[in-house]
Amino acid sequence: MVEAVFDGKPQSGVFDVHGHIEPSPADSVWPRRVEDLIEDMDRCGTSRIIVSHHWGLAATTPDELGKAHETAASVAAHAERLRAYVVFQPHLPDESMRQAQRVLDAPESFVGIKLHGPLHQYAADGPAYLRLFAFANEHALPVLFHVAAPERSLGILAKICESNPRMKLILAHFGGVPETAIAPLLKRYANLFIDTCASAHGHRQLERMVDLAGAGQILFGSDATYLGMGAQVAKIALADLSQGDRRAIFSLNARRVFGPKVVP
Amino acid sequence: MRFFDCGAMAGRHPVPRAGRVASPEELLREMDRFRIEQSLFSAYRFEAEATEAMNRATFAAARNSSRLVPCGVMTGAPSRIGRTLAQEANDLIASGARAIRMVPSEGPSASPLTLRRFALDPLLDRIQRSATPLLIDAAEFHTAQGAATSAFEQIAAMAAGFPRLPIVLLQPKYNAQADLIAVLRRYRNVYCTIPLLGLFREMESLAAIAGADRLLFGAYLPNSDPALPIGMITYSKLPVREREMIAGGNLRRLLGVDRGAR
Repeated sequence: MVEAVFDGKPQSGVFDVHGHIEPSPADSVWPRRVEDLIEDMDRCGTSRIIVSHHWGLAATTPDELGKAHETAASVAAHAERLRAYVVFQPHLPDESMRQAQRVLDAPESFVGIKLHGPLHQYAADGPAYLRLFAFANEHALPVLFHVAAPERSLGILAKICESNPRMKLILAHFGGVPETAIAPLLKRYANLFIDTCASAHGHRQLERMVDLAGAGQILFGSDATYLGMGAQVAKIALADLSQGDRRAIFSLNARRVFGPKVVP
Repeated sequence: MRFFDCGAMAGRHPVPRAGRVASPEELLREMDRFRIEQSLFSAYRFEAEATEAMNRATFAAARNSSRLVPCGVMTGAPSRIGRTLAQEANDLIASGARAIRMVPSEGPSASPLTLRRFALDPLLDRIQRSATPLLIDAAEFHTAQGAATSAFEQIAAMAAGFPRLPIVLLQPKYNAQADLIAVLRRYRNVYCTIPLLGLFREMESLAAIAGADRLLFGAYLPNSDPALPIGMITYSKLPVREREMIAGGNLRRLLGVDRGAR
């Protein structure tokens, strides 16, 4: 893994649980096309990624939210590389619940649900989210959750994990709090996970996280095409951890959460 | 890829920091782990007359390892009565400093770093004469406090007034992209390090807009993990030549050093 980074060679079989796509001009300063994503996946050795569509996050009407989930077409065109999240827009709760049904109806494309609390300015225990958590719990679904005001939401997250033990709750960006704050929750709740993507990454932050809570509930996420993929891959590959821990973070843990049909 | 880190610091702070790099020896160990050949380095101290102590420790560390290239530090105020900033810069350069880094005073009531030209012009004139790069931490440029005294407005004024002075912005954040692109486009003597430019292909886009010769590898130790900018470079879609420039070639050129380290 280490040599691959310094040689600029692809890693092997990386599974990315946090991606985004959106049409963008070919000469965009910030490209976000599925083709750009796959090109960078190839360079970094990411074999599979689960994406949510920017349009779903930005939807303002039920119609827009429905159209965003035509990402199924993109997923089908790259079925060997992509799966998708249903985007849950809490200000469109009924349409969001209808879209969530796609995870049950089209599991070959949609494999979980994505929540973005800061963008939607929605509390972790808001009624629309609680309704979604009950649905995810009933069907034992993964939910990728970027939590708003995470430092004030840890108690709420504990209750959510406790009330929904079959739901697999993945907190984006290391949970958005220092590792000392999230580690006790990870140790207490086996259905709680964190992903690794972040625009900034403290010196030895991942090593401290593993030291406090083990590597078993940490999933690799890049946040590409929001963030770049190379930096996110390198911080796992170069971490001062055992090969086994790095391999678990890169793919084995995701296999447990999403199942062998999703992970190559 | 020969990595030359622009702007590492090492030292202790009264508030224990996670992931600290407390000494030059610890920094060298991290450089080994991340295969960083050399570092443009400043020691860190938290005390009165901190910059004098930092500079003494920096030169001492550089004498012990040629992998640590000394970068002198200054605040926006002279540290001794009767001395000027230009004189202090002169002493640092005469002592072997290859670059000068502006650092803020610290403490609960410390004022923010000022980069106003009425305060700095004699200093800028002195270091322009020797083309000594000036390093400025841009991580907080986007904050309200930073914007008032030490932000892109001041950088633009300095770059316009001293066009032969290399100005290196350390770790500008990805969300400062609008100002960063504008200042890089307009002033050829402005450069920046990349560790917090983490948007999808942000480094590649900046290279296309401003030139790969304007971008520098910076590990941002001890605050950040060097793996991020290393991965940005090695996994970039830029040609190998441009990746090598960003990894270390550009900084070697700015400092006028190009040799293997001991």
